[in-house]
Amino acid sequence: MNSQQPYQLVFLTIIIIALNLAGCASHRDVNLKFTDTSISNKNIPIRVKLDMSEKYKNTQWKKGQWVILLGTNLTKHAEALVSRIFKKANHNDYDAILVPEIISVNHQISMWAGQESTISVTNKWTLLDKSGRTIWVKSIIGVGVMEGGTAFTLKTRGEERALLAVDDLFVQTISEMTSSVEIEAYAKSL
Amino acid sequence: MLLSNNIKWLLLAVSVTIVSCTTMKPPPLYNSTSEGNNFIRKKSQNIEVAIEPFDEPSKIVKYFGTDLLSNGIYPFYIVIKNGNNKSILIDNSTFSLSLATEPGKNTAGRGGELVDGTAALGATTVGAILLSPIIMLAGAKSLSDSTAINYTFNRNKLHPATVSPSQSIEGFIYFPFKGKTVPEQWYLLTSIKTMANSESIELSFASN
Repeated sequence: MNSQQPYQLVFLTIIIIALNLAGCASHRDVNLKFTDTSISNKNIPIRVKLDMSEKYKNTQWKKGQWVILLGTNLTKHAEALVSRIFKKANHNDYDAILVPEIISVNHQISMWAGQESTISVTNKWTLLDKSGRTIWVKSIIGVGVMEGGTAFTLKTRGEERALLAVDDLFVQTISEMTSSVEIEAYAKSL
Repeated sequence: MLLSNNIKWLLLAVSVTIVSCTTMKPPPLYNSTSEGNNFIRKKSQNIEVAIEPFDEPSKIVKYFGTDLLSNGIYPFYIVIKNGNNKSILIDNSTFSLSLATEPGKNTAGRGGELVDGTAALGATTVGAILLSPIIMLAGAKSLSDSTAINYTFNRNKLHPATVSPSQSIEGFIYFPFKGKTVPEQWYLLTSIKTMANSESIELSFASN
């Protein structure tokens, strides 16, 4: 038996392990950084109270041991959105309630490092008046696309992709809210 | 030598560039105008609803990556055009479907209600799916494929929304059913609410 063979077997084993770990496993949770570049100042004359569920605040994407915590980022974006595009509301002094709900989070990771991977976040927004009547509903899909990344950059790319998806979600949300005839009509009725 | 140095480096390079998760490419978006026109159309108070039942497995596989029918899911493509002067609300309660599981037993005309006769025929009334389809598809496809299928499933879905006057909305509604083959007879009821006065506009569709 060749004396190098044990080392070669070890080498092969390491490669096989690397192949299996590269795409689907991680041992750290990632808390996304808040970036609010997508939120610009608008002025819809409705005092809106944000009603986020614990489920929304704890939104995450998970596969194996890799977890991307989206909830913190979504929460901060939603709070910023309400404070910037609507009038300030107090606890019991408001005109409408905005209820966000995550319908799904989907993360497609490509087979090869250079291929595009996609994360999509579907958020349903419901704006209710004080009596609970629906004023406006919209489901928006925020999408983040970026190359899959190698075994060394995979998780970083995943986090950046998730940030892109959240930003895209809020850019679209602001656009939809500020152009909604239903919201405009409600503002005029106040 | 068990392996040459060149092969070792090649394997190493492959190991760091492969990501090894999704192997399935997402199916194309369904374009209703490019696939012929099998729509059934109804109109009331200037609100037009067109539906297209997806009952061809090959077509479903093309746009969803898997045969939803054999997984107990019956997709309907829906187009709603709001020609009314009021906004309308589309949500998961807008649609309901009755299926007759026995050939020749037609539920059409029963208004989608679970009357005694309908129950005796083995018909089921179901609402639009709210659960993640990945649960239903688990075991039928690999996890990686399920990710792509789930993405497509969600992307194509008709999501809840308000539809302003002169606007339209389209997408799929997925109805679960029992069994492996889709029942021949179905009856679809839509109940669209107007935003201003919560008036319901009902339209019904039936298989031929």
